[in-house]
Formats: sequence, structure tokens, C-alpha cells
Amino acid sequence: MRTVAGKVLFAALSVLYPGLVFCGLYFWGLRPRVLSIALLAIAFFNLIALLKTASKGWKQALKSGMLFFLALACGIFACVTDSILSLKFYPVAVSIALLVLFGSTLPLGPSFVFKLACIGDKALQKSALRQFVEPYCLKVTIVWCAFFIFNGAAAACTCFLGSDKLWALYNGLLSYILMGLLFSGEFIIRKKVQKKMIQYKYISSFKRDTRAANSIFAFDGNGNRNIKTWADFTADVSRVRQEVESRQEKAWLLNFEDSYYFMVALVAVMQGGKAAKISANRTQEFIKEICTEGVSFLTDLPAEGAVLIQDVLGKHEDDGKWIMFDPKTSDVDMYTSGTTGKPKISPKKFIQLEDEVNEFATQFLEKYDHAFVVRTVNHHHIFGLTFSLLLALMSGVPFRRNTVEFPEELRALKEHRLVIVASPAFLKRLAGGKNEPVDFAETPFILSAGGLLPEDAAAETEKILKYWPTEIYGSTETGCMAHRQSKNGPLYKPFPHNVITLNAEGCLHVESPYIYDEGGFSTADLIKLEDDGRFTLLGRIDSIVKIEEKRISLPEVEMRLRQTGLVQDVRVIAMAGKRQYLAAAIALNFDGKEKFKGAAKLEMNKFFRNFLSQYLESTVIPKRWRFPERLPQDAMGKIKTADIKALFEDSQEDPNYKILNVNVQDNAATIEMEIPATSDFFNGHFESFKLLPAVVQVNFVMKLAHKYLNAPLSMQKIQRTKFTSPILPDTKVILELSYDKDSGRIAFSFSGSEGKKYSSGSVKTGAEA
Amino acid sequence: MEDLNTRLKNIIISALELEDVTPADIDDDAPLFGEGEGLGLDSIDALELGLAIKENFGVSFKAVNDETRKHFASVNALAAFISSSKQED
Repeated sequence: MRTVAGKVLFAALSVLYPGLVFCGLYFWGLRPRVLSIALLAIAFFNLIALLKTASKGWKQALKSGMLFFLALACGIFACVTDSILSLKFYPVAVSIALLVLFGSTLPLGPSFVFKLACIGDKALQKSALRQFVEPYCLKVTIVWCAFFIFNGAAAACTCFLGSDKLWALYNGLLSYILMGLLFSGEFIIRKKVQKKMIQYKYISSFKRDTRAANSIFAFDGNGNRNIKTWADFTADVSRVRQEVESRQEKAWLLNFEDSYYFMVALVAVMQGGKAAKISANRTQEFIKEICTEGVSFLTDLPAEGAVLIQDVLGKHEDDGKWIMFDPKTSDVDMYTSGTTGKPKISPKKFIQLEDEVNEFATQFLEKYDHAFVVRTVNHHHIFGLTFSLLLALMSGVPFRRNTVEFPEELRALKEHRLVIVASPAFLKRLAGGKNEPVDFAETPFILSAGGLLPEDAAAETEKILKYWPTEIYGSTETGCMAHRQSKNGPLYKPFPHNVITLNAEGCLHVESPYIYDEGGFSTADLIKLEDDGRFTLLGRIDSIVKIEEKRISLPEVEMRLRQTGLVQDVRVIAMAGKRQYLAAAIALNFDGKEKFKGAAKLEMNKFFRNFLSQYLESTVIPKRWRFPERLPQDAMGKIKTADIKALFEDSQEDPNYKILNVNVQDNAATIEMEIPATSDFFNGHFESFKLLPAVVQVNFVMKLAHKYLNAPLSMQKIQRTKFTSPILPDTKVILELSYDKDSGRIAFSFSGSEGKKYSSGSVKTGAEA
Repeated sequence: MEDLNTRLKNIIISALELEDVTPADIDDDAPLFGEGEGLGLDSIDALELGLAIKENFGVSFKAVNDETRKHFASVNALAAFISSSKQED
């Protein structure tokens, strides 16, 4: 109570000081010496304030400290000399103090007004919105500084040159009116600026009226199909939330084709206080594995045992409620694509996703201002989810409900300011396809993540889509770590919240406030770290291989092959058979296809081999080549080594034999096959009596046991093998294989469809003894 | 009976598991190793080929030196070496 009264008295005294002095002098007949008590009182109040704030550092204490000393100096001077002038000088001193206070923040920032704004909105300091608010606050601070200079000068004039009346009139009234005008004028402008400014907010802080009811929330096609508004969204969230609340499930597995339904479901599950599990994989087997006790599958495409969101939306009425949820305790588990095979789970809290998006937005939010967000990537993976959906929601801009599959779809959207969240695979395809440039009304913003985007593809993208893509380096486990535009060099710049170091293997290690694992996260990416914290990606740790004792980086070979200018996409892998060697799978670009039109494959092999021989030793030049139309990749555009390997192992195109049917069970396989009369295998032995040579049969055993049972390709010896009767041309044979890993033995038998035995025996695999 | 060169070419193809290459694709005079229009074989291939030649012709290379490298220069050079070695026996 005492402090409140004191504060009121302090404020009243400060504001009324000029009037008080004037009245004292002219109506009450007081001497300046007596009136100096007012100044000393002001000094006293400032001293109290100073003592309270002193512990918080000199910056906080600056204002009270300055006013204390100025009031004290003026007061003592007035008291000792009994002069009016030093009483009248105090308002000038206040202006000087405020000028120092505001002006001292200008050179280094953040500006004084921004600091005030942060006191009003605590989240602002960390929010990506800061980049918009701060420049405005800086301008306001400058305007106030100018005002204090003017006001101080005017006060000084009235102090030294004007009459006491004029002094009292200006400092006791006019100055306050000017201040009031400036303040209210700024307030009106601020409201206008805020209205135009991007309405950026964390999803967890949304309310039902966060956006205008009729604002576009999601769209389809070229921007005007299947539109959903904010009102649709809030109503649909309410419907799904009621369903979630009414059921026993603790967690919901989410997989959607339509991004709108996906976001409705995600927010509804969060509001319902349940956990969300997000998976791009919707195969029956996987769903069955995840949907155990307490977990159900919510989706927009019919699936066995699934809850269809369309049914849920039809079942409930909007109850008009909007439930707030705590993002710090809400679980969102992300399933990674599992480049190495099995999908891995990456548990997260909702706040982690929001914070990570916010870090990205701190640099790039401006690009989302008034944009339409489209994606070519899968929205179940971290990159698609965060950049094409969550950030669109947070920024209050519409997103496209369905994936952009073809470059032509972008052309149809050219009237809009676009954010394009793309995969390198899409951009490479775009670049390799000789697409005509799109005359966008406004330069789009293109993000690429999920793999490296080769520089030539980035350059070509700029020609077609008018923007050199910004590449984001990150992963589900780490969030976004760094970014680059490769036209500015190969270096990636980390986002400021990440601390990037090298681990013992030379791989990137990252620590960030949003990685909750103690000690951060080590990736498998080899990097070269610069002193300024930026880095170059050198490839995966498993991309450095040894070929017959020679170390070689696979990305280096790929990079050289790209230098031919004929390559759209390339992957080089290490293979081992009789010896270790490299194999290259190349998808040619337009120029490449032109160049090799009608050429024999051997010619193409030779061309690339000769090109590489300028840079590489012959041992590490690929020995085998494949030129598929497109490299095999999953929906995220990730190319898996196993799929590339299969290109080199796949013998289905072999005209010499045909696999009709394969049945693999554990360690055994039954393979039905046919060897046509035209097969080369029948040549050479006996012209008049064609039969399948024993060596070919054993070769089949090795090859197919390797392919289907993962047996090694190398053979130690052939054991107990009987060739009972010859296999003749055009016969269908059944090859039964079993592989015992412990003994390294493959047992086989060739038989006819009627049970006729051709041959049987076993082969011992492994290195030669 | 196929001539020595064709036989050699078949041995090269099968021993080195060369893909996309038929005996007709191998020029008798083209260099087997290194860059250029040849087969681009490397030192590992040389060892492998040496072994295959030993198995097929009973001719062995004692050490890898400039002399042997000369023999591996082309199919013709190899054939000449094998013929002369066999006569010496």
C-alpha cells in the first residue's frame, strides 16, 4: 500500500512539477529555495527506485540514476543559490535523461521501444515475429529521440529566454499535449502496421477467433478449388475432438492424403489430450504392428480397421468450443522413413515442433508473408510437416491440400506468391525435363530438403522457377540444422540455436535446446567445419569405401560424373563379388539422352569411364553401369542403397532365363524357372544334344541363393552333387534352395514339375580355404 | 577351333566378369589397361587375368614388372607372349 501511494505521489510530483513551481512562485509567494524541496523529493523518489533496480545491472538503473543525480544537482543548486533558473532547468534535464535512455539503445540495439514491447509480450523476444516488430520499434525509438531533442531544446529556450509564464505553459501543458499526440499517433499507426503484418502465432496459443472466420485456410488445385476457411477448420476440429474425447484410445496413428484433414486431426487429437503418431507408412502390416491396445488409426482413405475422418465429421455437430492444450506435455511421435530399412520412431513434444519451426521462421518468416504454401514432399515427414503445414498455420497463410506432382501444377499457381516446399528429386526432375520458364507474378520461395540438390539442378531451377532453392539440412531427430543457397558456395550456415561440432569420426554432432537427449545428437554425415561455424557436407560416413585397399568417397565419383553435364541423377555404390568394385547407376538428363540416342550401352560405359579416368585411378572407376530412366526412390525422394544394388543384381532382363515364380520362407526358397531354347547357356557344349551345363546350374544356385536368401556369392567347394538327368531346352524347372548360415552350406535340387529329379547337392560358401 | 585371340578374349571376359562386352568389342591392338579406348582394366584385374592365363595355358607371370606390363598391353601382345612361352617349354 505504501509503495502504491508513494508511486502515485512520485508520478504526480513529476508531472505537476512545472505547474507547482509556477503556482509556488506567483500565487503562493514561495522562494525558489523552498520550492527546491520538490526537486529534492523527486531526487529522493528516484533514489529509492535506483536502489531497487541497482541489483539488476546498470542498464536498468540508468534512468533512475540519471534522474536522481539531475534532480539532486538542480535541487541543491536552487537551494544554495535561491535561483529560479535551476528550478526551471529540471524539465530540460529530464529530456536529456530520456534522450540518453532511448538513444543509448540505438547503436547496438535492441531499441528501447522494442524492450518495452518485450515486457508487454514475453514471447516476443524468442518469436520469429521479432524480425517484423523490431524494425518498427527502432523507427519509433528514433522518432522519440527526435522528440526529446526538440522538447529539450524548447524547454531550454523557455528556461533561459522565455518568461516564467511561458516556461510553465510549455513544460506544464504544451509539452504534455505534444507527447500525448505523438503517443496516440504512434498507437494508431501501430495498429495499422500490425493489421498488415503477418499474423504469426504458435498453434498451441490459437483461439477460436485467432483468424478471420472467412479467411482461406487451405485450398486445392490452382488456389481456388476445395477451399476450407478458418471457420471450417475450427468447426471440423471441434467435431473430431469430440470423437477423440469420447473414445478410450490413448494415441492415434495419423496418415492422410489430404493435408487439411491431417491438420484437423492433429489439432483435434492434441486438444483431446491424446498422443499423435505420424507415419508416412500405411501398409497393412505396419498399421497392424502399431495399432495395438489403445492405438487406433485415423485416416482419410479407407483401410482395414481404420476410423475414417469423413465419417467422424458427419457424426458430430460443432460444439463451438476451442480447447487449449499444453504443447509441453502433448506427444507427437514421428516415424522416420528409415533409409536403412525399418521405420524408426522419434518421440517429440508439440512444443518441440513449434520451437523448431520458430527457429527456421526467425530467418525466413518474411517469405511466408501473404504466401500460398505448396509442397511436393510427403507431409508426414518432418520437413513437409513443419515447413509446408505447421508454419503455414502459424503464419496464417493457406496451404495446398494435395501434393504437387508435376511442374505444370506450379505454372497454374503462378498468380500467387508461392512458398514451394520441394524434394531434390522433384527439382532434379524439373531441371532435367527442359521445362519452359514460369512467369510468376512474384518470385516464389523454394525450399529443398531430404538430400543434396546438385548445383546444376539448382541453377536450372532458378532458370525455370526464378528462385535458386534454399536447401535445408536437417533430420527428424534434430530438426533443421543449417541452410544454404548453393550459388553462394557449398557452405551451410547453421541456425543460431544449434551448436555444431565434430565427433570422433569426423561426423556432424549437434546440440540444440530442442534436442532433449542429453549430449545432443551425432549424425552419420561427414563434414568439414570452418572457423566461423559454417560447414561443408562431405557425404555419409558409409560413403567412404575402400576398393581393394584404395579409399574413395562415393560422392566424389558422383560429383565427377555430374561434371559431364549429361547426368540428371547418379548414385555410385560399392559392390563385392569376386573382387570389390564400384558400380554406377545414372539417369541421363535431356542432353545425355540426346547424346546417346541409339548408342550401344558399351559406348556409354566407355564414355563415362574415359571421362572419369581424367580424375580417378582405374581401380576406383566404376566397373558396372546402369542407365535407368529414373533412379529408384521412395516417396520422400530418398534413394536407398539396397534399391540401387538391386539394379545390378536384377537378372530379370536376362534373355537367358526367366524366373516364373518365387516362394521364400525363412532360409529356404522355391524358384520356378524356365530356360528358353534360345538361351546362350545351351551353346557350346554339344551341338546336336543341347543341355544345361552343370556349371550353369551351380551358377544359378549361387546367384539365386544370394538374391533370395542373402547367401554369400563366393563359393568354397561343391559337395555331394549328383547330376541325375539333363535339363533340356524349354523345360520348366523347380529349383529348391536352402541356406544354413552357420555351416555356410547351400543345399539345392533341380526338379521337373512332375517331380522328375535333374540334379541335387550342396555348395559350401565362403572364401577359398 | 577358335583362334588364340578369341579364346583370350573369352577368358578376359569371363575371368574379369566383364559386363556388356563381347569378344567382338575387344580390339586386338587396343590397350587393355589404363585410359583411352581400351577396357580400362586395373591392377587387380591384371592379377586375376594372370591367374586365368596360368590355368588355361599353363603360362605364368613371375613378377609384375615392366616386362609383364608389356605383355598385357593388348590381346595381340598377350597372344604373342603365350605362344612364345609355350614354344620355350
